Parts: sequence; C-alpha cells; structure tokens
Amino acid sequence: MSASPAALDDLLQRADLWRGGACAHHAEATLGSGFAALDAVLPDGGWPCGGLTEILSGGLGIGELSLFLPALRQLDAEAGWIVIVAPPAQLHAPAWQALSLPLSRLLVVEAEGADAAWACEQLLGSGALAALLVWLPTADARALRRLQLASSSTRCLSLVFRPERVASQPSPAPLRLALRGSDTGLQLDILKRRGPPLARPISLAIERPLPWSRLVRRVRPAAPVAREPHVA
Amino acid sequence: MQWLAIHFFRLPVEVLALPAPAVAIAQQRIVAADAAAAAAGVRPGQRLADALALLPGLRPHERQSERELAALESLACWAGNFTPTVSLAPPDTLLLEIGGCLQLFGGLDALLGRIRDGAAAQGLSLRLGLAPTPLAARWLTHADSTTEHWQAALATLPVEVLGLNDAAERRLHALGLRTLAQLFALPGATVGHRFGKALPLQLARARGELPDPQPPFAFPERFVQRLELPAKVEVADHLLFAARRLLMALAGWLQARQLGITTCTLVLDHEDIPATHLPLGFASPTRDAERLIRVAREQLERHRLAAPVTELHLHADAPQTLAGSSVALFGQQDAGNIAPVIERLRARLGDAAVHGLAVHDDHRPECATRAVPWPEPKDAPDTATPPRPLWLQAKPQALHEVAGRPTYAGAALNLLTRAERLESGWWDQDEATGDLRRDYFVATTAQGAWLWIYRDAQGWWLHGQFA
Repeated sequence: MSASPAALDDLLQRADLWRGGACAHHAEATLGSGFAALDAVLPDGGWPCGGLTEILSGGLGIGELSLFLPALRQLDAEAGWIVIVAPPAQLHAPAWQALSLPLSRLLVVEAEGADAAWACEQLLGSGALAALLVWLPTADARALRRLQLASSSTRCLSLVFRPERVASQPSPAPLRLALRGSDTGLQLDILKRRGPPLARPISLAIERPLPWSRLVRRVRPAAPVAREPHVA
Repeated sequence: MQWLAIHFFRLPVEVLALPAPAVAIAQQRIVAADAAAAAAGVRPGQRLADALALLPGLRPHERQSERELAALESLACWAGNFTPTVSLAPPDTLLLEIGGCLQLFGGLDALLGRIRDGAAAQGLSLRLGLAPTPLAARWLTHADSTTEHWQAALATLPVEVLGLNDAAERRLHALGLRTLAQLFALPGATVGHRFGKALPLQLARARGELPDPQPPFAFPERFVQRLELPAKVEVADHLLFAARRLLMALAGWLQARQLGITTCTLVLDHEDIPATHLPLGFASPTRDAERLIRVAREQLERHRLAAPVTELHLHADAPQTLAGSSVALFGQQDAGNIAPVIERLRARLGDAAVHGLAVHDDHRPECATRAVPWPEPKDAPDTATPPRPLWLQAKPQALHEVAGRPTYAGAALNLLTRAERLESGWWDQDEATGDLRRDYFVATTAQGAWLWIYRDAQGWWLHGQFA
C-alpha cells in the first residue's frame, strides 16, 4: 500500500490525463509562435505540430497569415514542404518573398470542396510536409475528423482556415482560434484547447505593412477629399 | 552462384487472359489449363473432348506461341526489377541469377515474396526452383522447391523432369528407375550407352560437374511493348489489369538499365477510330512500379473510353539516367517523398492545379507572380519594396466612392499611405493587364482588415489583402 502515492504521481504524469485548471502537456513537437503572450496560453507553449489547428477569421486581411509568420520562418529545408491548399485568393509571390517565406519550398494546390480535403489527406500521408495551410469553408465534421486523424500522426503544422460562422459547430480540432481585427492589434481568442477556456482575448502586435502606431494616429486623407466649409 | 528458375506453368493459357475456366490447346490436346479448369481435373495432355466432358463450360483457345514468347520477354524485363542477370529458357521459364542481390532485398524469403506478389499482380501462376546450377533449378521447379538442401530435393525428383521422349521414359521405368537418385547412382558410361550421350552430360551439368553457361537476356535498347487484349475491353478497370503487366515490365526494364522516366505514353488502340494516347507524367524521374501504376490508374479512371480497346502499347519517352535509389534532385531536400503525392494530385485535379511560385520581374502586380510546375531551387534575393499584400484578387473589385473617399462594405476606408504610382505595360497589347496607370494605397477597414486598393481613371478598386 505504501506504493500508492507514487502510483498517483505516475498517473498524473501521463500525457493523456489532465486536470482542469492546467493545460494538458503532450510530448509532441511544437513550434514557438513568436509571441510570448500567446505561447503562455497555448498548451505545450507553442503551435502544435501534428493535429489540426482551426482558425476562424472574419475576413481576408486581418492578419490571419501574419500571425503564423514567425512560426513558418522557423521551418528550415529539412523540416519539409509548406503547402497551401485551396487558397481564397491568388498568392502574390513578391509579398511572400519579401516576408522571407521560402518560395523554393512552397507548393500551391488549387482544389475545391471535397477535392481540397482529399488533397490534404494525401499530402499529410506523405510525411514530407512541414506546414499545411488549407481553406475549407464548407468542410463537414467527417472530413475534418479524417484530416485530424491524418495530421495527428505527422509532425506537420496543420492550419485549417474557416469562416467565423462555423464557430458554433463542433470540431475535432484540438485547438480552435477565433481572430478579429482591431486598431491596436490582432484580437485572438482561444475557443478550444486542451485546458481551461481563456478568460479574455489577447491582443497581438503582429507584423503589418506599416507600424501599428500609424493606425492610431489619424493621418491626413491621402485622397482628395471634399473640402468642408470652413467655419469661422 | 544461386540460380532461381521461375516456371510459368500456365503461361500458354494465362497469356490469353480468358475468363475462367479456360484452356490453351494444340492439335485438340490440352497444353495448359487455368486454375479453375485444373481444379475440375483438366490436365495437360488430355484430349479436348475429355476435358469438355469434365467441364462443359470450358473455353478452349488455340495456343499462340509467339505471344507466349513475347510475354516471356516482357517477363524478363520485369525480372530486371530483381537482378540484372536474366536468361530465357523458352517456352515458359526464366532463369535469374540472384546470388548477388539477396542482400539488397533483405534475404531470400523477402525476394521470393516479392517475386510471387509481382506474378500474382499480373495474374500469373508460377513454380520456383532454387539451386547453384541453372539446370537443377529448372528441374526443381517441378517440385516448387526453394530449399537450401537442393541436392536432396533434386534426388527425389521423378525422372519425368528430364523431358526425355516416351520410349526412353518407358525404358527407364522398365529398369525400375523412377527417381533421379537412382539415375545418379548408375555409372555415367552405362547411362550414356543406354539412353544417349546427352543424358549423362545433362546430369553432370545439373550437379555442377560440368559448366553450363547461360546466354544472358539483352534488355532492349528502347522500351516499346504491346499487349493484345483477349476481347474488346470497354471498362477502364479491366484495362488497368492489362496495363499493369506492361508497367511492371517497364519498371524492371528501367531498373536493369539504371534509368528513370518522367513521362511515358500508354496508347489504347481501337478498332475503327484513331488510337488514344494517354501521357503519364511524373513529378520526378522514377522507375517505381507502384508509382507508375498509381498514375496510370488515376488517368484511366478519369478517361472516358471513346470506343472499346483492342490493344495496349506502352512507350517509355526519353528515359534518363537514374542511379541509386535515393537521389536528391532539388538541392539538399529530398523530393522523393512528396513527388508521388504530387503526381496523384495532378492526375486527379489536373496538371495546373499543383504548382510552385516564382517572382517575375514586372511592376504590374498581376504579372509579378508566375506559376511554375516545380519550385525553383534557389530563392531570389530579397529586394526592398513598398508593402505588397500576400493575397491578390484575380479580378480587382470595384469600391464605391462616397464624398471622395473609397468605401468597403458600406464604411469609409482609412488610407494609411501616400499614393504609390504604378505606370507600366504600355508595350503589352493585352487589355486586362496591358497599359496601366494606377495609384496604390494601403487602407484599413473599421473591422481591422488591411487592404491594398488603387485608384485609376475608372474609380477605386480593391486589389489585395495584407493577410
């Protein structure tokens, strides 16, 4: 009987057991997000490599990709390929290059609907991917579950971008984020993680084409504006 | 030396690829029966009438010796997968020298397993024989023996394996000689005297007492093979089965010649209309049978047959040297892993659906990105540019102007930069991307989205998003 306290300790060390209040710790690989405030709230202290991360964002241009720039830059040639499946718009190569994303290891797959999910499954199965970025606005829970299965056996940063409106639908992704733009930084809320829910969204000063301060300081209109009558 | 004899004992019937039960016949006697017919008791040497009495549904077909020989040569190509030293022993046996390649395949059992699987995938029955001499190996196929103790196995074989004429066999039986062991026990001179000089020489060759050189099979210079189909095929699935034989032979031929291919062409012959050419493309040079078959399957599944197919041809286009099994093709990274997947995606989604990106030196945003079939190995040096968005709209989206300011989704945009004038393309006749004169701005929406917009003579346009 004297062994029972030790057995309990052993039990608490298990990866598949977590107590409410603490985040689960998986021995899996992670990729630092590049934001200390974010790493602090992500289970394992970084983006999970293996397993889906679902990102719900309001629209294009709020910084949904810039959020992952620091992580993507860490992926070197040995890590593998970065594949973008079913992008919502054309990729502008000069911008990707200017942001130091390696075009030499980037592949784009144009596919729609079920084909996109199928392509992701195939790609994840190859084991040659470092990161997968896929837009699946209409995928159902079954397709996502298949992807989660395929992804969980890899070491690939698997990002699934979906519209905000699916937030109420259940999802097999172990990590779900909601992104919202604002004047002071990207507002990130964690809808689901292996741990307790986040008290309130965190604001991240992600990389933007211009300093954030330019947004707060109202600049003169750059375009010709209708002149207002001067009131004396 | 380790000789492996592969005896395709049903080749005359299996080469015809008839629906079971079927037999190949010559002069109204059975030459070979397929598995279903053999199970019903049909044996080679039987008269056709007897066989039909046993199995009324039997499909007899006249034996076609040229096709058997062509098939054997094609199988010799396939055997190139396993060893470069292959010899033909017509009409239905291949001899492979495998002593030198056992290590490569992880032992004898693994190699034999691969050979059996490969033959099964082509719908061929085989019996194996393994011995240090080619003749003993051929005889041992009679017992399907690949044991280490080949001499003991050889001794127990019946004298019928010698393939003597009927009269000689009768004389052997009259002397009570039924197994090779009994024959080995007799002095060579006696055997020669009674049964002809050839027999003691054969026995000596089989036991390795005399040399028995085999003429090696010369792998052809170019790979062009055809396969006549037994009946007009209308279903792509059945075509794949036939194409598999050709593709497996191609893989072996490439292996034996140390080559790889990035394209090959499968030609489907029809009766009345011109042949269909199906190009099979590969992301990197390959000779992997699995990859060849996978791409062929995707192509055949997508292809709608215009007419029934009577014959298949396979050409290897422009083979290139491909040494070793792991070649880093694109710099240090190993493209080998992802290439087969890319092929699958391309076969299903179309060639243009999977591509890399390259920067094109052009000031017009529409022309600055180029889709390339495969990413270029070196990244171009970064050049300092004004901010550019990660997303670009294929077609600029018109924005309403309210009180002189652009709006997006009903709310005024907040312009953050001075105008950046882009004026270029006057030489280009294209209407969409040709001569343009635009002022670009970075703007934000009330929702916190960062947009790239421009103004030209027609008004305001949304052109991209800073994702």
